[in-house]
Amino acid sequence: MTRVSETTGSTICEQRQQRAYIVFYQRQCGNGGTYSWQAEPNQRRLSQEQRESSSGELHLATARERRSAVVMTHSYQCCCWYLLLGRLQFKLTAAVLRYYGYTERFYGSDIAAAYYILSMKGGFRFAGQSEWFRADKRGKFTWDFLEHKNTPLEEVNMSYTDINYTGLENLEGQRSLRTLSVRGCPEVDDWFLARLHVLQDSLEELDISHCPRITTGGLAALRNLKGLRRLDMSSLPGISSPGLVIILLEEMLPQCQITATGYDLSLRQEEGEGNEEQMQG
Amino acid sequence: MSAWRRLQVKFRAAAPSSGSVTLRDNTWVYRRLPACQSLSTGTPVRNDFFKDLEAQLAAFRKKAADALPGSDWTPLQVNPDLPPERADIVIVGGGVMGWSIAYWLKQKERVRDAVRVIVVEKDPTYSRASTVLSVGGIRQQFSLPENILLSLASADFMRNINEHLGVLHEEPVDLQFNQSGYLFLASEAVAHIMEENYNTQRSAGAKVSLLSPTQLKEKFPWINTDGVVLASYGLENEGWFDPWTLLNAFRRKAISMGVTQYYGEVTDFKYTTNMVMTTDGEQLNIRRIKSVKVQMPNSLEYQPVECAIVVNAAGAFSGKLTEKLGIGSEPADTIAGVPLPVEPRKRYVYVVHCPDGPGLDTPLLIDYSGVYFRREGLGGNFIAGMSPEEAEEPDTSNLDVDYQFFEDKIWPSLAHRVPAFEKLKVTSAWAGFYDYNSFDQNGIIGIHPLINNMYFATGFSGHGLQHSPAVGRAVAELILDGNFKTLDLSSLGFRRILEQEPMFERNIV
Repeated sequence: MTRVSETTGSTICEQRQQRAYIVFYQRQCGNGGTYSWQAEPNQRRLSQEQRESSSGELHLATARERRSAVVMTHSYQCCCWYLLLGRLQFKLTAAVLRYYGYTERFYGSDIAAAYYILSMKGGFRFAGQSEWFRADKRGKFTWDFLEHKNTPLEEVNMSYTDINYTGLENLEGQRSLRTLSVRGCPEVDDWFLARLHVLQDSLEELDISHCPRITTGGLAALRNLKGLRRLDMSSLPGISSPGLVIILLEEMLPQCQITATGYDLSLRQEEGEGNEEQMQG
Repeated sequence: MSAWRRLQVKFRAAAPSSGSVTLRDNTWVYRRLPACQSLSTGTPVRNDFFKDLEAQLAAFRKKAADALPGSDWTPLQVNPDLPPERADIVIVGGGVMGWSIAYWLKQKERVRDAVRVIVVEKDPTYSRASTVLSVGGIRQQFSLPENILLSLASADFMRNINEHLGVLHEEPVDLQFNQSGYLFLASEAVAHIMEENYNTQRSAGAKVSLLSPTQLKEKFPWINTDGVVLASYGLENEGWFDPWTLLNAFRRKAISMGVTQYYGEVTDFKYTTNMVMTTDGEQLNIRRIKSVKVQMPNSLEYQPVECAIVVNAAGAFSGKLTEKLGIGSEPADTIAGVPLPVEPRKRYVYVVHCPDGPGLDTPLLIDYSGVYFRREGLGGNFIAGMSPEEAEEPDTSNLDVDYQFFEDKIWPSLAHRVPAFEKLKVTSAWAGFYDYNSFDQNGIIGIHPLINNMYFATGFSGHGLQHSPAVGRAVAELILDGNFKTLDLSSLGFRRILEQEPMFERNIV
């Protein structure tokens, strides 16, 4: 996410999913209006199309917007961002901006997906290898995975990361992805589950336990994953009647083994019925 | 008395502001007190104005603004429910389309309170509003690229709905979106249309797949594929949701941004007419609305609201509204003789209970006979309906349900398509109006050539709800930016009606 290092306007920005969110903070609230921003690379020259997409305008209308404005764009490796306020220029240095499209162009989509997973602090395993590549708690990882070019990913573990609907775009090309775990991810919701249809041919094992934003409507989207053999949907707080949902899911995916722990499935007598009987009697 | 001040006074940082005082270790410990309260008797009493300076100055500024002309304040407050005498934009119709336009107008204005928007709704209970009686589905399986793009944009909006419509300190919006997709079935005769539509949908970016009868049977074993040659199935961004939640989310957010709602019916317009001669020698009367007469519900009171722009989002009743401007009353071969072709059409929706019916993966299935159904909840309930033939259109003066229609027309097709539905029980039903565009059953978005300042967003014939976020944005762009910016919907404007070139949607429900 975005972190502000100084309130005068420097930001360090990290890529969130595939686009960069750069937050501009100003110490004094301006009077609203239009501010323009542009991005320039530090070291390399921009092509014409890159230059066109590297500037834009912000409309800061409400007071809330004047304090911080978010610019969403495709980012560049090592850029300087200029916020033009009339004639003043605030220079904001975005130190770490990763551009997965750039990576994809040079290294191929598998390496780009691998790079994405590691920068989100997940882990993966290549097809045909037994070694897992992971980032440590601080997000540092080794670059050994670059040696395996054009090797598809077979297992991906994104548990407890910030992956969301937009980020799944990076994993779309993986035709031999068999296992995916998004256990405990706070941003995984029903729309994410619906987008999993891009992996419908290969996905065999899915772990969506402990995701707070998944509801029953999203579980209906799993009908597309006909190859699914193991599903873990434990402890999903968003499901209202878990017992019934588990039964319906088992009917919907007959060849899938569903693990669903962490629910209170005991049958309780409704209190209202008891009262009605008393009133009638 | 001075001894009190010499005592140590400690403030607890996390304490709420209350006036309690506790004794601890022989020192008086004060919790933080509210701003105007002071327990000390040493300070003078008459300190109010300067202590509260900011609030006093704000009140002073407000009084000054009210006194100047252009404000709503009058010394004789007659009826607080009456709309104001002057507003910039009056949106006629408080359904999901009207509120979506109101939200986007406020979202896009460059300066706070730049436009004064009011929404006028005639029915406070929303008992006959099409929005709340809708089945609530959203699909991208249309044949017109504009419709597909509208649906995609609306699905994007709904995916990030809390970013758009989240209000501080209020609960987040939960649309209860079921990601179940739509399934269209095609017979031999229409299979080629479905294939062409599939190509259009794919190139516009919709995630749709075509299924053969065998694949269909494999995916949905409860379907009887008799007569089905091809099926089109939505993989993503399709399903159904709760329309009331969407309406209230738009409403809550728009009200928090400064839109005000008034209950009343727009019964009349005051407009000026400018007579213009075209190059062909035809005389046109260009109207400009000066004020809108809003009649209070169940009352003789009315308020004329002077306005700059009127947005017609009145849904099924938009045609009646436009007639008041004289459109449609002149001879048929003139431009003014073409009425707004939007009229209410009654549609029935039946709730049935079938315990052996299809399970969680039931999509919204639309058969080539016109019958559709979807799952409702988890308890084996389903919602079914069908568009009747032109000749058998039911009477639109009321919203009574005809159960015979279900028995005669819907049940046989349902039972044929899904054998489990042979044993079902109709638990309830309701009826609602389509804002039916009798010309080509597609929305009308834009300005009328003869009315300078009336914007239309109506005539969607059953797919207004699913397009409402995107259409709201489009109309706001038209009003504030002058032209479409994100999606080009100029082909859905008035021109096609005047030139009699319908843009039909092939395979609609």
